Amino acid sequence: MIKTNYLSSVQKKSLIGLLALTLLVSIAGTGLHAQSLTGPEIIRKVDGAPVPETLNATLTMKLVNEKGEKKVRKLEAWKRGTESSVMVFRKPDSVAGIALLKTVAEDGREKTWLYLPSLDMTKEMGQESENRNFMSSDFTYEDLGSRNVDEYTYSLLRKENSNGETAYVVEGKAKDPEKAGYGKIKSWIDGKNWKPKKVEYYDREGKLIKVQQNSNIEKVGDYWVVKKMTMKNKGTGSKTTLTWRDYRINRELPEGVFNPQNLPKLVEEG
Amino acid sequence: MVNLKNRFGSMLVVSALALILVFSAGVISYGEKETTREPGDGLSMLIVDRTGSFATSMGTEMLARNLTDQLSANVRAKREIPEEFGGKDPFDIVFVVSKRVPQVWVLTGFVPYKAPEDKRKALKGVHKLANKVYNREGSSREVVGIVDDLAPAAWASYLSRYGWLGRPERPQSN
Repeated sequence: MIKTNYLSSVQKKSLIGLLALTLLVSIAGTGLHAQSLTGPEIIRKVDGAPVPETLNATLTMKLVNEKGEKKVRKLEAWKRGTESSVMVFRKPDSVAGIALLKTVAEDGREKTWLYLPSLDMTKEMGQESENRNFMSSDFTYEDLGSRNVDEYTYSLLRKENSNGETAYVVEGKAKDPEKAGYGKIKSWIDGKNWKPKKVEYYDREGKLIKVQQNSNIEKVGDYWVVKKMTMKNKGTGSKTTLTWRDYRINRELPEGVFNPQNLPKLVEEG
Repeated sequence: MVNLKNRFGSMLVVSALALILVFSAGVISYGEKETTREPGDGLSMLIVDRTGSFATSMGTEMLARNLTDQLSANVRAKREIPEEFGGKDPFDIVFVVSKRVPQVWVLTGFVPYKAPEDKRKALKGVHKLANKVYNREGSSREVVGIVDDLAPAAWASYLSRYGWLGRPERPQSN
C-alpha cells in the first residue's frame, strides 16, 4: 500500500510535468506555425480549399472595351468539382445558345468543346494562344481557377493587416516563363477563407499587365465563394466583371451534361 | 547539272500553272449544271471552319447568324473541305476559314466581275459581313476572294469541279 502511494506520487508529478510540457510545446508550436506559413503552404491552402461536388449558377459578364463601350452577356453554368464545367450563353440573342464545355480526360489533359447552334456544330478547341482568354474577356481560363500551381515558385512577401483582417501577400514566379501564362503573379490572400482578394499579373519582362479585384466573398453552404471578380487590363484599358448569382450547390445535374454530344439538348432545354 | 535542275524547276512551275489554268477554266465557263432553287430564294452557303480557335469559331457563328438574318441565306457548315461529289444542289458561296493562314476565303464558282449584277451585289455584302465578324477584339483575319489570291482560286476550281460550287444561271434571252 505504502509502495503504491509512493509510486503514485512520483507518477503524478511526472504526469503533470509531462502534460505541462506537452501543452507548452503544442501552444508554442501552433503559434510558431501560424507565424511561419510559407508561400507554398499558403498556395496549397488556396488550391486545396474544399469545393462543392456539383454547382449550378448564373453568371453575368460585363465587358468594357478601351473606348468605354459596354457589352453584357448572361450565362448559365454547371460544374462538377474542379474538373468539368459547361456554360451556355442565354443573353443577348446575338450569342444565345453558344455553349462551352470543359472536361478533363483520363490522361489528365483538358479538353474544350464549343457548340455553335447556327452551324449545328460541336467543335473541339485546339491549343491556340487566343483560346487562353475566357469567352473573349480579360480573364484567361488560368485566371478562373485552372492554373497549374506547380508551374510557379512561391514566396511569402509580407503580411498586411487592415480592419482586423489579415492578407498574405504571396509572389509566384514562373519556373518556365515560356510555358506558364505569366512571368509573375502577386496575390493578396485572405487569411480567413484562403481566397485571393486581389491578384496582380506580370508579363515575362516583369511589367504589370492585369489587376484582378475579388469582392463579395461569401459562404454558400459549407463553401467560400467569390461572387464578383473584376479584371482590368493595364495594356488595353479594357475591363471585365463577372458576377455569379443563384448558386445551387450539390444538387443533381442534368443527365449527360458534360457530354459534348448533349450540348444541343442542354441549350434547347434552357 | 545546274541547267538540268533549273529546267526541272521551270517544268514544275509551268505544270503547276497549267493545272491551275485547267481548273480555272472549269470555274470561268458558265452554266453546264442547272440549280434546282427557285429565283428569289436566299443564297445557299457553306462555311468550312478548319480552325480550333475560340475567337475565330465565335466569328464563324456570328457570320452564319448574320448571313441568315440579313441576307436570308441558307447556311450549312463543315469542319473540312469536302472531298466527295457534292450532289445536285451546289452552293452559291463556300467560305473556308483557313487553319494555316489568317485568312477567310470567299469561294465562288464564277469570277465576280463577270457575274450578274445581283450576284455581284450579294457578294460585296458577304465580303463586308465577313470582314466585320472576323476583324474584331481578339481576332484578325483577311477576307479574300478568288481573284485576290492563288489559294482561294485553286480551291474554288476544285470545289466547282466536284459539284460543291454552283455557277449563276445565264440570263434568259427573249
